[in-house]
Amino acid sequence: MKTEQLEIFGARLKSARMIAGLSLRELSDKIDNEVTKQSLSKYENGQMQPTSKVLQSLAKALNQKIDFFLLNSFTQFESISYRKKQDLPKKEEEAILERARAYYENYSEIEIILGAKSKFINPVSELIINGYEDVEQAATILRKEWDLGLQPISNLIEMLESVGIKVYVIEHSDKIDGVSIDVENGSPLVIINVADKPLERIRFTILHELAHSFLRFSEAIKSDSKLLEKLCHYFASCLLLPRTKLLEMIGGKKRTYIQIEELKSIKNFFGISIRAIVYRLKQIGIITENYHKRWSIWLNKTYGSKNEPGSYLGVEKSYRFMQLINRALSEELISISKAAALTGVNIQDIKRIEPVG
Amino acid sequence: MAKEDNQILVKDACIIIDLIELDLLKTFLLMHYDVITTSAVVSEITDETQRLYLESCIAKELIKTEDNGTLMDIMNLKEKYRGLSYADATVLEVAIRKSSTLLSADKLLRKAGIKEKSIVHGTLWIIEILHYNRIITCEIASEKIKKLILINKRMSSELCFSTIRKIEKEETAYHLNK
Repeated sequence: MKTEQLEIFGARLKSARMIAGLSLRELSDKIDNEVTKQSLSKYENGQMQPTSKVLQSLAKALNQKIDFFLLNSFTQFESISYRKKQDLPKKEEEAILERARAYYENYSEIEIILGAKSKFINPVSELIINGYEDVEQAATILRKEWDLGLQPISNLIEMLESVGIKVYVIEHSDKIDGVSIDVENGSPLVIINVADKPLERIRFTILHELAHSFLRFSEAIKSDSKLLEKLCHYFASCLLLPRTKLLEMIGGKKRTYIQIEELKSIKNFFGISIRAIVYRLKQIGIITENYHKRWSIWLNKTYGSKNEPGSYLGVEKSYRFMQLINRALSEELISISKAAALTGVNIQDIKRIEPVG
Repeated sequence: MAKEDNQILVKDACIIIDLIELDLLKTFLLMHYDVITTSAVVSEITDETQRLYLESCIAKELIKTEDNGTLMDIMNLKEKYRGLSYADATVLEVAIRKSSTLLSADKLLRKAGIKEKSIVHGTLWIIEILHYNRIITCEIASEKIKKLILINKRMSSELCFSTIRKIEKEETAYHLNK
Protein backbone atom coordinates (compact mmCIF):
# COMPACT_ATOMS: atom_id res chain seq x y z
CA MET A 1 0.00 0.00 0.00
CA LYS A 2 1.12 3.55 -0.71
CA THR A 3 1.44 6.05 2.17
CA GLU A 4 -1.93 7.61 1.41
CA GLN A 5 -3.62 4.20 1.21
CA LEU A 6 -2.00 3.20 4.49
CA GLU A 7 -3.34 6.34 6.17
CA ILE A 8 -6.84 5.70 4.83
CA PHE A 9 -6.66 2.09 5.97
CA GLY A 10 -5.53 3.25 9.42
CA ALA A 11 -8.44 5.67 9.72
CA ARG A 12 -10.87 2.97 8.62
CA LEU A 13 -9.48 0.47 11.10
CA LYS A 14 -9.86 3.00 13.91
CA SER A 15 -13.40 3.75 12.75
CA ALA A 16 -14.31 0.03 12.85
CA ARG A 17 -12.76 -0.29 16.29
CA MET A 18 -14.86 2.63 17.54
CA ILE A 19 -18.02 1.10 16.09
CA ALA A 20 -17.20 -2.05 18.03
CA GLY A 21 -16.44 0.06 21.11
CA LEU A 22 -13.10 -1.65 21.70
CA SER A 23 -9.79 -0.29 22.95
CA LEU A 24 -6.56 -1.28 21.16
CA ARG A 25 -5.83 -3.71 24.01
CA GLU A 26 -9.32 -5.25 23.80
CA LEU A 27 -9.00 -5.67 20.03
CA SER A 28 -5.61 -7.31 20.39
CA ASP A 29 -7.09 -9.70 22.97
CA LYS A 30 -10.05 -10.44 20.70
CA ILE A 31 -7.77 -11.64 17.91
CA ASP A 32 -5.87 -13.78 20.45
CA ASN A 33 -2.89 -11.43 20.35
CA GLU A 34 -2.22 -12.33 16.71
CA VAL A 35 -0.88 -8.79 16.60
CA THR A 36 0.09 -6.64 19.57
CA LYS A 37 -1.58 -3.47 20.75
CA GLN A 38 1.51 -1.59 19.51
CA SER A 39 1.17 -3.05 16.00
CA LEU A 40 -2.52 -2.19 15.92
CA SER A 41 -1.58 1.36 16.85
CA LYS A 42 0.92 1.41 13.98
CA TYR A 43 -1.77 0.20 11.57
CA GLU A 44 -4.09 2.96 12.75
CA ASN A 45 -1.39 5.58 12.33
CA GLY A 46 -0.66 4.44 8.77
CA GLN A 47 2.85 3.25 9.69
CA MET A 48 2.36 -0.44 8.94
CA GLN A 49 0.28 -2.68 6.70
CA PRO A 50 -1.36 -5.88 7.96
CA THR A 51 -1.07 -9.17 6.10
CA SER A 52 -4.26 -10.42 4.45
CA LYS A 53 -4.54 -13.06 7.20
CA VAL A 54 -4.42 -10.40 9.93
CA LEU A 55 -6.88 -8.31 7.95
CA GLN A 56 -9.32 -11.20 7.97
CA SER A 57 -8.93 -11.68 11.70
CA LEU A 58 -9.51 -7.96 12.27
CA ALA A 59 -12.61 -7.97 10.07
CA LYS A 60 -14.00 -10.95 11.96
CA ALA A 61 -13.24 -9.49 15.38
CA LEU A 62 -14.73 -6.12 14.44
CA ASN A 63 -17.73 -7.67 12.68
CA GLN A 64 -17.03 -5.85 9.42
CA LYS A 65 -16.58 -6.98 5.86
CA ILE A 66 -13.03 -6.63 4.55
CA ASP A 67 -14.46 -4.24 1.95
CA PHE A 68 -14.99 -1.75 4.77
CA PHE A 69 -11.24 -1.48 5.37
CA LEU A 70 -10.26 -1.29 1.72
CA LEU A 71 -12.45 1.56 0.57
CA ASN A 72 -10.02 4.04 -0.98
CA SER A 73 -11.28 7.13 0.82
CA PHE A 74 -12.16 8.28 4.31
CA THR A 75 -14.93 10.82 4.71
CA GLN A 76 -13.98 13.77 6.88
CA PHE A 77 -16.58 15.45 9.07
CA GLU A 78 -16.09 19.21 9.21
CA SER A 79 -18.48 20.32 11.93
CA ILE A 80 -20.82 18.35 14.11
CA SER A 81 -23.84 19.72 15.93
CA TYR A 82 -25.58 17.51 18.50
CA ARG A 83 -28.94 17.38 20.13
CA LYS A 84 -28.07 15.01 22.97
CA LYS A 85 -27.98 14.65 26.71
CA GLN A 86 -24.82 15.29 28.68
CA ASP A 87 -24.72 11.72 29.97
CA LEU A 88 -24.37 10.11 26.52
CA PRO A 89 -21.16 8.10 27.01
CA LYS A 90 -18.27 9.17 24.78
CA LYS A 91 -17.84 5.62 23.46
CA GLU A 92 -21.50 5.47 22.35
CA GLU A 93 -21.24 8.88 20.74
CA GLU A 94 -18.15 7.82 18.77
CA ALA A 95 -19.78 4.56 17.69
CA ILE A 96 -22.86 6.43 16.40
CA LEU A 97 -20.69 8.84 14.40
CA GLU A 98 -18.58 6.06 12.91
CA ARG A 99 -21.65 4.02 11.92
CA ALA A 100 -23.07 7.10 10.25
CA ARG A 101 -19.76 7.65 8.45
CA ALA A 102 -19.85 4.05 7.16
CA TYR A 103 -23.43 4.51 5.94
CA TYR A 104 -22.49 7.77 4.23
CA GLU A 105 -19.50 6.16 2.51
CA ASN A 106 -21.46 3.13 1.31
CA TYR A 107 -24.15 5.47 0.02
CA SER A 108 -21.55 7.60 -1.77
CA GLU A 109 -19.87 4.50 -3.23
CA ILE A 110 -23.08 3.32 -4.90
CA GLU A 111 -23.77 6.86 -6.14
CA ILE A 112 -20.30 6.98 -7.72
CA ILE A 113 -20.69 3.55 -9.34
CA LEU A 114 -24.01 4.64 -10.85
CA GLY A 115 -22.82 8.14 -11.72
CA ALA A 116 -25.71 9.40 -9.60
CA LYS A 117 -23.79 11.48 -7.08
CA SER A 118 -26.22 13.89 -5.49
CA LYS A 119 -24.95 17.41 -5.22
CA PHE A 120 -26.30 19.56 -2.44
CA ILE A 121 -26.80 23.23 -3.19
CA ASN A 122 -27.80 25.38 -0.25
CA PRO A 123 -30.34 27.91 -1.58
CA VAL A 124 -30.12 30.04 1.57
CA SER A 125 -26.36 30.20 1.96
CA GLU A 126 -26.34 33.96 1.30
CA LEU A 127 -29.16 34.83 3.69
CA ILE A 128 -27.91 36.10 7.05
CA ILE A 129 -30.31 35.11 9.81
CA ASN A 130 -30.91 37.87 12.35
CA GLY A 131 -34.27 36.79 13.73
CA TYR A 132 -37.60 35.02 13.30
CA GLU A 133 -38.58 36.83 10.08
CA ASP A 134 -35.34 35.76 8.38
CA VAL A 135 -35.98 32.16 9.42
CA GLU A 136 -39.47 32.36 7.95
CA GLN A 137 -37.99 33.76 4.73
CA ALA A 138 -35.39 30.98 4.58
CA ALA A 139 -38.15 28.36 4.89
CA THR A 140 -40.15 30.07 2.14
CA ILE A 141 -37.12 30.13 -0.18
CA LEU A 142 -36.41 26.46 0.50
CA ARG A 143 -40.01 25.45 -0.17
CA LYS A 144 -39.82 27.29 -3.49
CA GLU A 145 -36.37 26.02 -4.51
CA TRP A 146 -37.21 22.44 -3.52
CA ASP A 147 -40.57 22.53 -5.35
CA LEU A 148 -42.59 21.79 -2.25
CA GLY A 149 -45.48 24.17 -2.90
CA LEU A 150 -47.70 24.66 0.14
CA GLN A 151 -48.58 21.03 0.72
CA PRO A 152 -47.48 18.84 3.66
CA ILE A 153 -44.13 17.08 3.27
CA SER A 154 -45.28 13.47 3.30
CA ASN A 155 -41.90 11.75 3.71
CA LEU A 156 -39.39 14.32 4.95
CA ILE A 157 -36.42 11.93 4.88
CA GLU A 158 -37.06 10.97 1.26
CA MET A 159 -37.57 14.61 0.30
CA LEU A 160 -34.27 15.65 1.90
CA GLU A 161 -32.43 12.83 0.18
CA SER A 162 -33.86 13.95 -3.14
CA VAL A 163 -32.18 17.35 -2.65
CA GLY A 164 -28.87 15.79 -1.68
CA ILE A 165 -29.04 15.62 2.12
CA LYS A 166 -28.34 12.18 3.59
CA VAL A 167 -30.27 10.99 6.62
CA TYR A 168 -29.00 8.14 8.77
CA VAL A 169 -31.68 6.63 10.98
CA ILE A 170 -30.70 5.03 14.30
CA GLU A 171 -32.53 3.48 17.22
CA HIS A 172 -30.79 4.45 20.42
CA SER A 173 -31.56 5.37 24.01
CA ASP A 174 -33.19 8.76 24.62
CA LYS A 175 -29.74 10.20 25.40
CA ILE A 176 -29.53 11.41 21.84
CA ASP A 177 -32.10 12.98 19.49
CA GLY A 178 -30.13 13.94 16.42
CA VAL A 179 -26.85 15.10 14.97
CA SER A 180 -26.14 17.37 12.05
CA ILE A 181 -22.83 17.01 10.22
CA ASP A 182 -21.12 19.07 7.54
CA VAL A 183 -19.10 16.74 5.37
CA GLU A 184 -15.91 17.87 3.65
CA ASN A 185 -16.60 18.08 -0.10
CA GLY A 186 -19.91 16.35 0.35
CA SER A 187 -23.58 16.74 1.10
CA PRO A 188 -24.77 17.30 4.68
CA LEU A 189 -25.56 14.32 6.87
CA VAL A 190 -28.23 14.15 9.55
CA ILE A 191 -28.40 11.38 12.13
CA ILE A 192 -31.83 10.88 13.64
CA ASN A 193 -32.81 8.69 16.57
CA VAL A 194 -36.29 7.30 15.95
CA ALA A 195 -36.58 4.99 18.97
CA ASP A 196 -39.86 5.49 20.85
CA LYS A 197 -40.46 8.89 19.30
CA PRO A 198 -43.63 10.11 17.61
CA LEU A 199 -43.22 10.89 13.91
CA GLU A 200 -43.86 14.59 14.31
CA ARG A 201 -41.01 14.83 16.80
CA ILE A 202 -38.68 12.93 14.45
CA ARG A 203 -39.56 15.30 11.60
CA PHE A 204 -39.06 18.32 13.80
CA THR A 205 -35.68 17.13 15.09
CA ILE A 206 -34.36 16.44 11.57
CA LEU A 207 -35.16 20.00 10.48
CA HIS A 208 -33.90 21.50 13.72
CA GLU A 209 -30.56 19.79 13.15
CA LEU A 210 -30.46 20.88 9.52
CA ALA A 211 -31.05 24.47 10.58
CA HIS A 212 -27.86 24.29 12.63
CA SER A 213 -26.04 22.99 9.60
CA PHE A 214 -27.11 25.25 6.79
CA LEU A 215 -28.69 28.44 8.09
CA ARG A 216 -26.17 31.28 8.23
CA PHE A 217 -26.78 32.87 11.62
CA SER A 218 -25.40 36.31 12.42
CA GLU A 219 -22.65 36.57 15.04
CA ALA A 220 -25.14 38.13 17.48
CA ILE A 221 -27.45 35.11 17.20
CA LYS A 222 -24.54 32.69 17.45
CA SER A 223 -23.49 34.25 20.74
CA ASP A 224 -26.99 33.70 22.21
CA SER A 225 -27.28 29.91 22.35
CA LYS A 226 -30.81 29.97 23.77
CA LEU A 227 -32.10 32.15 20.95
CA LEU A 228 -30.16 30.08 18.42
CA GLU A 229 -31.97 26.94 19.59
CA LYS A 230 -35.34 28.71 19.43
CA LEU A 231 -34.66 29.87 15.87
CA CYS A 232 -33.71 26.34 14.81
CA HIS A 233 -37.01 25.14 16.32
CA TYR A 234 -38.80 27.87 14.46
CA PHE A 235 -37.16 26.92 11.17
CA ALA A 236 -38.43 23.34 11.57
CA SER A 237 -41.90 24.66 12.23
CA CYS A 238 -41.83 27.08 9.26
CA LEU A 239 -40.65 24.45 6.78
CA LEU A 240 -43.15 21.84 7.94
CA LEU A 241 -46.09 24.23 7.94
CA PRO A 242 -46.08 27.19 5.52
CA ARG A 243 -47.34 30.43 7.02
CA THR A 244 -49.92 30.93 4.24
CA LYS A 245 -51.38 27.51 4.88
CA LEU A 246 -51.48 28.00 8.65
CA LEU A 247 -53.26 31.31 8.27
CA GLU A 248 -55.71 29.73 5.82
CA MET A 249 -56.51 26.92 8.26
CA ILE A 250 -56.70 29.00 11.45
CA GLY A 251 -58.15 32.18 9.89
CA GLY A 252 -55.98 35.23 9.27
CA LYS A 253 -57.32 37.26 12.19
CA LYS A 254 -56.27 37.44 15.84
CA ARG A 255 -57.78 34.66 17.92
CA THR A 256 -58.65 34.70 21.60
CA TYR A 257 -59.86 31.11 21.74
CA ILE A 258 -58.71 28.06 19.80
CA GLN A 259 -60.14 24.58 20.15
CA ILE A 260 -57.84 21.60 20.51
CA GLU A 261 -59.67 19.87 17.63
CA GLU A 262 -58.54 22.63 15.22
CA LEU A 263 -54.93 22.09 16.19
CA LYS A 264 -55.24 18.31 16.03
CA SER A 265 -56.41 18.47 12.43
CA ILE A 266 -53.48 20.74 11.47
CA LYS A 267 -51.10 18.40 13.27
CA ASN A 268 -52.49 15.30 11.60
CA PHE A 269 -52.34 16.92 8.17
CA PHE A 270 -48.91 18.60 8.32
CA GLY A 271 -47.08 16.26 10.69
CA ILE A 272 -46.10 18.93 13.17
CA SER A 273 -46.66 18.97 16.93
CA ILE A 274 -49.40 21.02 18.56
CA ARG A 275 -46.82 22.76 20.74
CA ALA A 276 -44.95 23.92 17.62
CA ILE A 277 -48.18 25.14 16.02
CA VAL A 278 -49.19 27.14 19.10
CA TYR A 279 -45.72 28.67 19.38
CA ARG A 280 -45.91 29.65 15.72
CA LEU A 281 -49.33 31.22 16.22
CA LYS A 282 -47.86 33.35 18.97
CA GLN A 283 -44.88 34.31 16.83
CA ILE A 284 -46.99 35.50 13.90
CA GLY A 285 -49.32 37.40 16.20
CA ILE A 286 -52.49 35.29 15.92
CA ILE A 287 -52.54 34.62 19.68
CA THR A 288 -51.08 36.64 22.53
CA GLU A 289 -48.04 35.71 24.57
CA ASN A 290 -50.32 35.22 27.56
CA TYR A 291 -52.67 32.89 25.68
CA HIS A 292 -49.68 30.88 24.43
CA LYS A 293 -48.48 30.50 28.02
CA ARG A 294 -51.92 29.30 29.15
CA TRP A 295 -51.98 26.78 26.30
CA SER A 296 -48.55 25.44 27.21
CA ILE A 297 -49.47 25.06 30.87
CA TRP A 298 -52.75 23.33 29.97
CA LEU A 299 -50.99 20.93 27.55
CA ASN A 300 -48.30 20.01 30.09
CA LYS A 301 -50.85 19.56 32.87
CA THR A 302 -53.23 17.48 30.77
CA TYR A 303 -50.85 15.37 28.67
CA GLY A 304 -47.45 15.67 30.38
CA SER A 305 -44.46 17.55 29.01
CA LYS A 306 -43.69 15.02 26.25
CA ASN A 307 -47.12 13.93 25.10
CA GLU A 308 -50.02 15.63 23.38
CA PRO A 309 -53.26 14.68 21.62
CA GLY A 310 -53.63 13.88 17.91
CA SER A 311 -51.64 11.49 15.82
CA TYR A 312 -49.76 11.99 12.60
CA LEU A 313 -49.83 8.78 10.60
CA GLY A 314 -47.16 9.35 7.98
CA VAL A 315 -44.08 7.42 6.91
CA GLU A 316 -40.54 8.56 7.49
CA LYS A 317 -38.20 6.30 5.62
CA SER A 318 -35.43 6.51 3.09
CA TYR A 319 -35.85 4.34 0.02
CA ARG A 320 -33.23 5.94 -2.21
CA PHE A 321 -30.19 3.99 -1.00
CA MET A 322 -31.83 0.61 -1.59
CA GLN A 323 -33.26 1.86 -4.88
CA LEU A 324 -29.73 2.69 -6.05
CA ILE A 325 -28.46 -0.72 -4.91
CA ASN A 326 -31.25 -2.49 -6.81
CA ARG A 327 -30.63 -0.37 -9.87
CA ALA A 328 -26.90 -1.14 -9.81
CA LEU A 329 -27.69 -4.86 -9.46
CA SER A 330 -30.16 -4.75 -12.34
CA GLU A 331 -27.70 -2.89 -14.55
CA GLU A 332 -25.02 -5.42 -13.53
CA LEU A 333 -22.78 -2.70 -12.18
CA ILE A 334 -22.29 -4.39 -8.81
CA SER A 335 -22.14 -8.01 -7.78
CA ILE A 336 -24.51 -9.59 -5.26
CA SER A 337 -21.60 -9.85 -2.84
CA LYS A 338 -20.85 -6.13 -3.24
CA ALA A 339 -24.52 -5.31 -2.65
CA ALA A 340 -24.35 -7.37 0.54
CA ALA A 341 -21.17 -5.57 1.62
CA LEU A 342 -22.68 -2.12 1.02
CA THR A 343 -26.02 -2.80 2.69
CA GLY A 344 -25.16 -5.29 5.41
CA VAL A 345 -27.91 -7.54 4.03
CA ASN A 346 -27.17 -11.28 3.60
CA ILE A 347 -26.35 -12.61 0.15
CA GLN A 348 -29.32 -15.01 0.39
CA ASP A 349 -31.71 -12.13 0.97
CA ILE A 350 -30.29 -10.07 -1.90
CA LYS A 351 -30.71 -13.04 -4.23
CA ARG A 352 -34.37 -13.22 -3.28
CA ILE A 353 -35.08 -9.60 -4.20
CA GLU A 354 -37.02 -9.68 -7.46
CA PRO A 355 -35.39 -7.49 -10.11
CA VAL A 356 -37.68 -4.89 -11.64
CA GLY A 357 -38.68 -5.35 -15.28
CA MET B 1 -19.64 -31.87 -20.90
CA ALA B 2 -17.55 -34.91 -19.82
CA LYS B 3 -15.47 -34.35 -16.71
CA GLU B 4 -11.88 -33.39 -17.39
CA ASP B 5 -9.33 -34.75 -14.97
CA ASN B 6 -7.58 -32.42 -12.53
CA GLN B 7 -9.76 -29.50 -13.48
CA ILE B 8 -9.66 -26.90 -10.72
CA LEU B 9 -12.83 -25.02 -9.95
CA VAL B 10 -13.05 -21.85 -7.87
CA LYS B 11 -16.37 -20.99 -6.32
CA ASP B 12 -17.98 -17.82 -5.08
CA ALA B 13 -20.52 -17.49 -2.26
CA CYS B 14 -23.56 -17.19 -4.54
CA ILE B 15 -22.97 -20.54 -6.20
CA ILE B 16 -22.18 -22.24 -2.90
CA ILE B 17 -25.46 -20.94 -1.45
CA ASP B 18 -27.34 -22.02 -4.59
CA LEU B 19 -25.92 -25.55 -4.34
CA ILE B 20 -26.60 -25.86 -0.61
CA GLU B 21 -30.17 -24.61 -1.05
CA LEU B 22 -30.67 -27.05 -3.94
CA ASP B 23 -29.15 -29.81 -1.80
CA LEU B 24 -26.60 -30.45 -4.55
CA LEU B 25 -23.31 -29.38 -2.97
CA LYS B 26 -22.25 -32.79 -1.67
CA THR B 27 -23.57 -34.46 -4.84
CA PHE B 28 -21.42 -32.13 -6.93
CA LEU B 29 -18.39 -32.80 -4.76
CA LEU B 30 -18.74 -36.49 -5.69
CA MET B 31 -17.44 -35.46 -9.12
CA HIS B 32 -13.97 -35.21 -7.54
CA TYR B 33 -12.97 -31.92 -9.04
CA ASP B 34 -10.40 -29.91 -7.15
CA VAL B 35 -12.79 -27.41 -5.68
CA ILE B 36 -11.37 -24.27 -4.15
CA THR B 37 -12.84 -21.29 -2.42
CA THR B 38 -11.40 -18.52 -0.24
CA SER B 39 -11.80 -17.63 3.44
CA ALA B 40 -13.41 -14.34 2.43
CA VAL B 41 -16.11 -16.31 0.59
CA VAL B 42 -16.66 -18.62 3.56
CA SER B 43 -17.16 -15.59 5.81
CA GLU B 44 -19.91 -14.37 3.48
CA ILE B 45 -22.08 -17.38 4.31
CA THR B 46 -23.93 -15.98 7.29
CA ASP B 47 -26.67 -18.58 7.62
CA GLU B 48 -25.51 -20.78 10.51
CA THR B 49 -26.71 -24.10 9.03
CA GLN B 50 -25.23 -23.36 5.61
CA ARG B 51 -21.97 -22.25 7.18
CA LEU B 52 -21.64 -25.40 9.30
CA TYR B 53 -22.40 -27.48 6.24
CA LEU B 54 -19.73 -25.70 4.20
CA GLU B 55 -17.24 -25.95 7.05
CA SER B 56 -17.86 -29.70 7.27
CA CYS B 57 -17.03 -29.96 3.53
CA ILE B 58 -13.86 -27.98 4.15
CA ALA B 59 -12.93 -30.13 7.16
CA LYS B 60 -13.30 -33.26 5.01
CA GLU B 61 -11.15 -31.55 2.35
CA LEU B 62 -13.92 -31.85 -0.21
CA ILE B 63 -13.44 -28.12 -0.69
CA LYS B 64 -10.12 -26.41 -0.09
CA THR B 65 -9.63 -22.82 0.96
CA GLU B 66 -6.84 -20.94 -0.70
CA ASP B 67 -5.67 -17.58 0.59
CA ASN B 68 -2.23 -17.22 -0.93
CA GLY B 69 -3.05 -14.23 -3.09
CA THR B 70 -1.31 -11.01 -2.15
CA LEU B 71 -3.41 -8.19 -0.81
CA MET B 72 -2.01 -5.96 -3.55
CA ASP B 73 -3.19 -8.29 -6.36
CA ILE B 74 -6.64 -8.54 -4.80
CA MET B 75 -6.86 -4.77 -4.33
CA ASN B 76 -5.77 -4.19 -7.92
CA LEU B 77 -8.59 -6.42 -9.15
CA LYS B 78 -11.01 -4.67 -6.83
CA GLU B 79 -9.93 -1.35 -8.26
CA LYS B 80 -10.19 -2.63 -11.83
CA TYR B 81 -13.71 -3.95 -11.21
CA ARG B 82 -15.21 -1.44 -8.77
CA GLY B 83 -18.53 -3.26 -8.66
CA LEU B 84 -16.94 -6.37 -7.18
CA SER B 85 -16.51 -7.04 -3.49
CA TYR B 86 -13.30 -8.09 -1.77
CA ALA B 87 -14.58 -11.68 -1.62
CA ASP B 88 -15.31 -11.60 -5.37
CA ALA B 89 -11.82 -10.28 -6.04
CA THR B 90 -10.22 -13.09 -3.99
CA VAL B 91 -12.06 -15.68 -6.09
CA LEU B 92 -11.09 -13.96 -9.32
CA GLU B 93 -7.46 -13.69 -8.20
CA VAL B 94 -7.27 -17.45 -7.50
CA ALA B 95 -8.93 -18.26 -10.84
CA ILE B 96 -6.38 -16.09 -12.69
CA ARG B 97 -3.35 -17.28 -10.71
CA LYS B 98 -4.23 -20.96 -10.99
CA SER B 99 -5.67 -20.70 -14.52
CA SER B 100 -8.72 -22.46 -13.16
CA THR B 101 -12.39 -22.44 -14.01
CA LEU B 102 -14.45 -19.85 -12.21
CA LEU B 103 -17.78 -21.06 -10.88
CA SER B 104 -20.05 -18.17 -10.07
CA ALA B 105 -23.75 -17.44 -9.88
CA ASP B 106 -23.08 -13.73 -10.12
CA LYS B 107 -23.31 -12.04 -13.51
CA LEU B 108 -20.78 -9.29 -12.84
CA LEU B 109 -18.16 -11.66 -11.44
CA ARG B 110 -18.69 -13.96 -14.41
CA LYS B 111 -18.18 -11.02 -16.79
CA ALA B 112 -14.96 -10.08 -14.98
CA GLY B 113 -13.81 -13.72 -15.18
CA ILE B 114 -14.41 -13.77 -18.95
CA LYS B 115 -12.48 -10.51 -19.33
CA GLU B 116 -9.60 -12.08 -17.45
CA LYS B 117 -9.74 -15.02 -19.89
CA SER B 118 -10.96 -17.55 -17.34
CA ILE B 119 -13.39 -20.31 -18.18
CA VAL B 120 -16.60 -19.38 -16.40
CA HIS B 121 -19.58 -21.53 -15.48
CA GLY B 122 -22.67 -21.12 -13.32
CA THR B 123 -25.19 -23.18 -11.37
CA LEU B 124 -26.99 -24.41 -14.49
CA TRP B 125 -23.74 -25.84 -15.86
CA ILE B 126 -23.28 -27.80 -12.63
CA ILE B 127 -26.77 -29.27 -12.90
CA GLU B 128 -26.14 -30.12 -16.54
CA ILE B 129 -22.86 -31.85 -15.78
CA LEU B 130 -24.40 -33.80 -12.90
CA HIS B 131 -27.07 -35.05 -15.27
CA TYR B 132 -24.66 -35.71 -18.14
CA ASN B 133 -22.59 -37.90 -15.86
CA ARG B 134 -25.77 -39.66 -14.72
CA ILE B 135 -25.32 -38.57 -11.11
CA ILE B 136 -28.81 -37.10 -11.10
CA THR B 137 -31.79 -38.05 -13.25
CA CYS B 138 -33.40 -35.85 -15.85
CA GLU B 139 -36.42 -35.38 -13.55
CA ILE B 140 -34.28 -34.28 -10.61
CA ALA B 141 -32.28 -31.92 -12.82
CA SER B 142 -35.50 -30.36 -14.04
CA GLU B 143 -36.91 -30.10 -10.50
CA LYS B 144 -33.68 -28.47 -9.23
CA ILE B 145 -33.67 -25.91 -12.03
CA LYS B 146 -37.29 -24.98 -11.29
CA LYS B 147 -36.35 -24.56 -7.62
CA LEU B 148 -33.37 -22.43 -8.65
CA ILE B 149 -35.73 -19.92 -10.27
CA LEU B 150 -37.49 -19.57 -6.91
CA ILE B 151 -34.41 -19.16 -4.73
CA ASN B 152 -32.42 -16.96 -7.09
CA LYS B 153 -34.67 -14.24 -8.45
CA ARG B 154 -31.80 -12.85 -10.50
CA MET B 155 -31.64 -16.04 -12.55
CA SER B 156 -33.06 -15.77 -16.06
CA SER B 157 -36.10 -18.07 -16.12
CA GLU B 158 -35.84 -18.18 -19.93
CA LEU B 159 -32.32 -19.58 -19.66
CA CYS B 160 -33.46 -22.03 -16.97
CA PHE B 161 -36.26 -23.44 -19.14
CA SER B 162 -34.02 -23.67 -22.19
CA THR B 163 -31.53 -25.64 -20.06
CA ILE B 164 -34.35 -28.00 -18.98
CA ARG B 165 -35.21 -28.56 -22.65
CA LYS B 166 -31.53 -29.14 -23.45
CA ILE B 167 -31.25 -31.74 -20.65
CA GLU B 168 -34.44 -33.49 -21.82
CA LYS B 169 -33.09 -33.62 -25.38
CA GLU B 170 -29.80 -35.03 -24.18
CA GLU B 171 -31.68 -37.63 -22.11
CA THR B 172 -33.66 -38.76 -25.16
CA ALA B 173 -30.49 -38.98 -27.27
CA TYR B 174 -28.78 -40.95 -24.50
CA HIS B 175 -31.57 -43.56 -24.39
CA LEU B 176 -31.73 -43.81 -28.18
CA ASN B 177 -27.99 -44.47 -28.38
CA LYS B 178 -28.05 -47.10 -25.64
